[in-house]
Amino acid sequence: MVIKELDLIHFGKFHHYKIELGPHLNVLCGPNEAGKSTICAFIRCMLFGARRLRGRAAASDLYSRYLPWETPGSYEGAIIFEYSRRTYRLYRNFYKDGQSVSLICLDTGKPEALPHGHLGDLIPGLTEENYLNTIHVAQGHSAMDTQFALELQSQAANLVMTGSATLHLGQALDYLKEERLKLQKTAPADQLKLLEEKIDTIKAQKAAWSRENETEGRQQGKDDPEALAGQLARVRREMQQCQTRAGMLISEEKQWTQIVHDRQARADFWETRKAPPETDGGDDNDQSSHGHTNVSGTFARRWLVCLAAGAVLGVLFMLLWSFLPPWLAGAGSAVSLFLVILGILGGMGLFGRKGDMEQPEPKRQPSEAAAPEQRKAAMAQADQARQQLAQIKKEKEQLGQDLSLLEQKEAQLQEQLGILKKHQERREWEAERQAEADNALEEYEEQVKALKSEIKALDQELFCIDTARQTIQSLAQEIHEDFGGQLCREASRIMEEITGNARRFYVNPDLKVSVDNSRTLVPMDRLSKGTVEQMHVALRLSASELVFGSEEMPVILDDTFAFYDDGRLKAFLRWLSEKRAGQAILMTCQHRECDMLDGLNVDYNYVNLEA
Amino acid sequence: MRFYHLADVHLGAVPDRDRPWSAQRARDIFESFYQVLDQAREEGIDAIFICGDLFHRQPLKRELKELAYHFAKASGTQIFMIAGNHDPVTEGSPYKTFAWPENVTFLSGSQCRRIYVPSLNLCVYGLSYHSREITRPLYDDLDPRKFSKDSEGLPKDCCHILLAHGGDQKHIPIRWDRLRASGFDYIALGHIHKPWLDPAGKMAYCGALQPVDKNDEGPHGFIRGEVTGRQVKLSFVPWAKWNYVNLNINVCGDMTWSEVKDLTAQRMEDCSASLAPGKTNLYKIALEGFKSLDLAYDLKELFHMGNVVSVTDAMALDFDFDSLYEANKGNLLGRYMDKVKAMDLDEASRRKILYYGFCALYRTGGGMGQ
Repeated sequence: MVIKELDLIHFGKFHHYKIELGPHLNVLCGPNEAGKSTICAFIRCMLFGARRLRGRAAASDLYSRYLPWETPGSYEGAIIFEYSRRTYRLYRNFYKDGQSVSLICLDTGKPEALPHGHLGDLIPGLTEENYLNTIHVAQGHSAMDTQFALELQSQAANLVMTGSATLHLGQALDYLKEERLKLQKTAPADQLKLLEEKIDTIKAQKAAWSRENETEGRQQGKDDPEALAGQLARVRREMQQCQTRAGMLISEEKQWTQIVHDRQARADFWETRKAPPETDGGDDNDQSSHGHTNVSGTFARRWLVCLAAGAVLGVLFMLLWSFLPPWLAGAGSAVSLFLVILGILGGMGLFGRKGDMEQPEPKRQPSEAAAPEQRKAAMAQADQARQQLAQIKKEKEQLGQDLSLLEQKEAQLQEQLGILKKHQERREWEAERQAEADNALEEYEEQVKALKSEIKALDQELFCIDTARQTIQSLAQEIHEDFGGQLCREASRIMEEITGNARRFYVNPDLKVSVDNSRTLVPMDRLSKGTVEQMHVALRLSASELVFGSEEMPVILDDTFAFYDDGRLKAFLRWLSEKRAGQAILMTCQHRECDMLDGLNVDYNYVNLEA
Repeated sequence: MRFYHLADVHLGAVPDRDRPWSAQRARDIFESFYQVLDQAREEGIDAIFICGDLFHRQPLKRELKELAYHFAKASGTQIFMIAGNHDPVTEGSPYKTFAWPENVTFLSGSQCRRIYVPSLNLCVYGLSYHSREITRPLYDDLDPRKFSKDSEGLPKDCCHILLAHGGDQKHIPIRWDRLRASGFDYIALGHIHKPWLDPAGKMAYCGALQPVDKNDEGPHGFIRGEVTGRQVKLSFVPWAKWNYVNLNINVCGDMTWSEVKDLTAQRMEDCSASLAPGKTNLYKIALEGFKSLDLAYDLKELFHMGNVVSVTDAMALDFDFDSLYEANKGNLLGRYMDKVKAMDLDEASRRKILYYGFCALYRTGGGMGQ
């Protein structure tokens, strides 16, 4: 590419100002404030547009800087350049309310489309970033942007790509970073944590339960429900026996109370009366009592008579059965039967009996002389009866106590059994609880397993993304090593030609330059400012080769030679004219360059900006 | 004598846990089993053999009570059960102490036992799992004629049926030829969820009653059998309400995502059109074929298109890596491929790394040639 003409229609302080440029060296000379930097900026704005920034930056952006003071409404320019053996004219209107750009091929008269609004559409690689980092060497800003480093690598990589492919390694790496983030968002890490918490809860619960069980087991492990039930039955049986016995005792007690009463009455009787009582009553009493005493299985005489009569009658009637009329036979049988029955029942003493008496009462003889003896005997008997009664009462009392003890024991056993039953129910409930917990635990663990395998698959995917990223990065590194080497060699060569001494330069991926002083690598900032400036220029020149390939681009040097000594300046200018085929536009405020070029007999285009 | 042969009911399982229908499926497992019992009662079936894994995990006592109620309802049918590896009779298991109704016989011993049923002239043999795994081949040496001392006392025409659970390495490995020649009239097998009838007709896996896991594809149900003399006739009764279906969607190079979704919807409709009423399909979608590099897709959208259980992405990139390598040998892409090829990983991972790298370079660069 060669810039042939600059037409500053309205730009900065220039109005309708044309500059013609030559294909090789051009020197634009002018004092300070002549507008050199304006022209530099013009070239830049023409190629890429004058961007307006917002906010506070708006005060000092390119647009505002070069907005013409005199004609603020008119802000435009054109350049004519040659590229690929064709001549083009690029026109731009910078004014904010009428921005436009047009590119016409002057050979054919056909307009060219600029979809992105800058010349990068026409000339590959000509982006503003590249321009500022290669072609355009501004005053005091000769170091390259570190961002540019990656771009350089991409460019270097692109050189290797066949076809029309372009690579943006930086963007590729960003894309992978985004993919990774997207994938990570789907990770079920929360779910896993939740499940693991649940599992821990259940396990802790189970541990607590088993501790409880241990202490409980120690407390009530000894009781056997069956043994207890057996005991309870025994106790109840004993109680039953006691109660029966008590019943018997009560009736005995009643009997003996009566006997005591009777004997006492007799004793009293003998006490109060000297004479025997009336025989009838007494005899009757005697009789009845006598009759009542023979209890041991013998019938009373009269009942025996009754029985015998009935039996005889019965036999008689049976013998005379056929001889007697029916009514008589029937009546006779009935009567005999009745007598038999009466005799039997009476003999058995169903008609009143008064209990056991050991001694048959002797028939008392009424006699005055025997009264005190009778009385004594009666008293003794009464006492005996009383003793017996007392014994019975004592036994009854004892039995009562036993019974109440047994009742207590029964109640106790019942309570124990009740507790045991409750414990058993509780144990069953606990077992169910345990089983439920176990089941839940199993399920959760299965879910955890499934989740973990999901996570593993995810991790595998992430690993692949990371590996791809690392691979691309290392490739970029390698490319840099390849082309970085080439860059360095080229820059070193340029430097050698300029400075005359061969020093090996090394450029790291961040475009930091270091110099080999045959002992170690010295970072470039240790060298003199002049050398540093020169190095930067050299680097830019070799980088532009990388970026723009074979197309020789113009290089614009805006007052870059301030720090060069004469020798170096001469060497550089010679190099520019002899070794470099492309266009060079030098802006300077001194005549040094011109003088040197004259001295070297170099053909150059001189533009005086004083006018 | 007519019988049903069931196994692997897995009561209590919750299939497809994270999908909306999982609760319904868990209930259906119970319901379909109770319906089998009802059907047995209606048809007057003489015996039901449940060959293990009735429960998906240790049952609770209350669950056994419910089950006993249903068993008791089918009082005219003799029910024989064994425990499988999912519900083994372990130390604290309620199986140990539970009192089954009269018509239920639970062969819970760890050694094979025989039960003679005079009313059906039937001998039932079986053992239960007492742990999750049994590696000894407990069924290989069984012979009904020599089973125990009182084998001679049995009627000659009595039918011998073995209830077995297992068949793989960790769950009672089985030598099939020995079992076939063992002399049982029928061997009712459980453990494998896919039904299978032996061609010789003397043994069968009835399969799970309902599919439990998404890998349980195909028909599921139970086996109905009839014994006449020493002959056994078997038929499979499909009983599953839910059906897992594999849908392989073939994606071509220039299909867009909406096209893929429409194709999937169409295939799902076709499948459900040929479905019996009352049954539901559950789809496992696998995307196969080739995807172009700029196919922007979100697999999650497929889950909302119906009863979708899982979606697998098996699409390959729409170009031939080998020819691409040939074309790009000397440049950056070739060098990238070289590096990836040299990595010590499995093929699938390497392809993925290539894919990611290529996507990254392609989508951010411009004008990548094919």
